[in-house]
Amino acid sequence: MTGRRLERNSGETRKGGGFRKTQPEKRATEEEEAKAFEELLGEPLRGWDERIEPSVPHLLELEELVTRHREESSRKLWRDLFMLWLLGILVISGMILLYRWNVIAFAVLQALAAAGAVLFLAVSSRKNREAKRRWTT
Amino acid sequence: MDDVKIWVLAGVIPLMLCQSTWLYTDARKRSRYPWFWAIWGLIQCPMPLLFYWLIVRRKRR
Repeated sequence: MTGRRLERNSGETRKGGGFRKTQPEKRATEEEEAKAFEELLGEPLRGWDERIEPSVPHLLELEELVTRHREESSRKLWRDLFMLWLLGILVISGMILLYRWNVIAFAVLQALAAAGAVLFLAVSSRKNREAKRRWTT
Repeated sequence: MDDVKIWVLAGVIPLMLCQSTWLYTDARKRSRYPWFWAIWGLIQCPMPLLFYWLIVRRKRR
């Protein structure tokens, strides 16, 4: 075994002029620090911990919370659906009136809607991809 | 307006509303632009359904 390899195996490689601690030395230091910490703060911390009583919510309270959340979500969904149907009646009526007035205008509007939707999807997909790349790199 | 047109309209209006409602609820469940899909679903049929299936449903599998 060469001298360098011996040094590496024993963990006594010099770096920056100082000695690097070996594993048993590190463990001993950690144990000393833990002991000092225990002596200094152990008792007050335990007393503090005993004084704190976390308020555990009752099962009924949790059930009530979940029920309330569900009801709220359902109410919001129905409100949104009502708004959507109202908007739907307006949009469909508008489309029918446009069709009756001018078929070409109706066709142009349909083409514009399709192009706009595809454009929106392309832009949002690109944005999502960029955001994902930014998060992963 | 003749009878045929009235029947067509009577079929088309609920169809568009159903399509739009389904798109809205499903996109909302998946947090994928529910209002966009719903409004597009009110204007055309069946392109929004096809695109939704391709972009949202098929991509997630």
